[in-house]
Amino acid sequence: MAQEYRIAVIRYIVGKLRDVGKIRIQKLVYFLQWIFKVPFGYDYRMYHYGPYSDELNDDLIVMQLNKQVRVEADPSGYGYHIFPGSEAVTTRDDILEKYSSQIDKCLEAFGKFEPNQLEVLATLHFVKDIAGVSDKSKVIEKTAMLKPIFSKQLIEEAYRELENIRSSVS
Amino acid sequence: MVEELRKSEFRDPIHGFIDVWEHEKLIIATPEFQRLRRIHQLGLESYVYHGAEHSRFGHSIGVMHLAGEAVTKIFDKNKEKLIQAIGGGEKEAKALKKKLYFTARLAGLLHDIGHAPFSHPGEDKLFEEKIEHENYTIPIMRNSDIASIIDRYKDKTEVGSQDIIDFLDKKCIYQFPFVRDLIDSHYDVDKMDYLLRDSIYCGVEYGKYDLLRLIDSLTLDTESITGGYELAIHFDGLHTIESLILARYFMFAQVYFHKIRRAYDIILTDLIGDCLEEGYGKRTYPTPDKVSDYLKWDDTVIFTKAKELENEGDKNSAWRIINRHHYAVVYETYPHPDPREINTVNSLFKECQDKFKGVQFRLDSAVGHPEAFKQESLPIVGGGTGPRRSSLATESVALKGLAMINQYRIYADVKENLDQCKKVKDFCRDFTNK
Repeated sequence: MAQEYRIAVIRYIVGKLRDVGKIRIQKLVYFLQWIFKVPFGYDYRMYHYGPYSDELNDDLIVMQLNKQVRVEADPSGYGYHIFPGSEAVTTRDDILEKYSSQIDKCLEAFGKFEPNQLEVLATLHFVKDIAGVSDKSKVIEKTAMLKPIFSKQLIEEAYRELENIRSSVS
Repeated sequence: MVEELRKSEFRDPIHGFIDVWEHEKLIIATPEFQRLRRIHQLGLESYVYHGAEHSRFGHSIGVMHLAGEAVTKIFDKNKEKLIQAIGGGEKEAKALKKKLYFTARLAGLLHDIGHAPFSHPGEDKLFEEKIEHENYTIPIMRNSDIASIIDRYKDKTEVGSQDIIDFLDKKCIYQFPFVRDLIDSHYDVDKMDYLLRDSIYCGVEYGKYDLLRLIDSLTLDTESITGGYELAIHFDGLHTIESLILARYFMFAQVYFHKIRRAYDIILTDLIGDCLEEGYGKRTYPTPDKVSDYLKWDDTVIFTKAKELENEGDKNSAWRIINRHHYAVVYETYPHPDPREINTVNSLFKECQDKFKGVQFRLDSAVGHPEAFKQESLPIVGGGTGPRRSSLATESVALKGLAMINQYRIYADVKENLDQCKKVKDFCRDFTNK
């Protein structure tokens, strides 16, 4: 997907959520790409807070430069708030028309989760689908190794939650 | 570190004596690594700063050295936390330290082994879509003696070739992400080396900062919500990392995005594209599955081709490279144009093409994200009076004004006709003053 289309979709999401953190936007776009099949074409790697795309971060920087979003650091020193910017995105009604139903479904399925819950859900998905670990117990074990702060019980619950969402989508 | 391994010392212009272990020396001796001697670190930067003749060879060895230094410092400061992660005692700790040390060093040594001729020029056009030089690293390891050399020493180093492959493959899971951060992040040892190295070889001061202090300030944020293995900097090193970020900004503005260097990037891209088209019928490098073909390309091949082609046609790309004649810069923005100025330069580019039919124009946009450093929440730990944990984004007043570089330039191939050049420049000035 060309950058102008990606930016149009990201701006649509930011416009809907009004105040969205960087972890949240990374994870929502991740699920949009991998579960709801919106073809952003982003590469993801496993980073501190779960799957992370440098290209998505670059798009956000470009959007910030063009004043299509406004980014403010959280006073705590951890995380950022992304708000709609003063400049509109050149209307790409065609792309939004094509994907708005998937975006809305994704926001409905994942929008309710806190950033740390999204982090666990996306990490589970990455371990299974991107890193190719097929066995359920190994997926949970690897996720627990990557996210020692989360209890195994919480990770297991997140695994079930993710599977429910996936089956409802397919 | 390892009694069973022989060690040599290489003298490096930036870091002084660098320890090189015997398996690393064998890797350096492979033809694939020796090829890096024939890949200029900064393209044709030497056409601007004549000292910049250095190559990826020395840089790779420098990165290996810094990776080992950084891991050792971080491990020693956070030994208990790291042992806790794997369970076990002194013996396991020693093995883990060795494993992290050699993983970081080997990843540093090999991180640029897949670079194309002249390093970065044309990377966005001369590789197939979604391919970067990093995509060649693992195929090069597997298709050379490098993987088997690493495996032969696994008993002594705790690191096999699969460990390095898993470390380099971003899709793989790695338990200690801080080591990956040291090799590939906004504040990695790659940047720590190249800023100093490029400054020295270019003969400029912009890229200098306090390296020893910075390495000494690196640590882990052991109470991070991510599990405690996140790279952090001690409060005492805050100003040192600020100076690294500022150094990078100045190097981009003054060296890497220099208008003449950028002109030669365009010319080189054209010439390499021509060479690839002649060889393969398309203007892209062989893909990573054809790594042997890919490795045939180095700077000497391109210079040889340029020498062959320099007199074919009127002042062609080859002639320009052999004789150092670049396109004229007829218009450029400041490094931080606003969206209105960007629209103006795009319109001007089209107007120039309409007005001067016989002249070939090129529009260049030099984009760098030095401000991205401050957007990363590199944790700051410690500090007597300030908050115990904070991040660069909130703590650094010095970096608040740093913005993305997005400098636009219009180049004109006026075939060294100075009158024509003046006419085009006057037209651009009048257009933008309207």
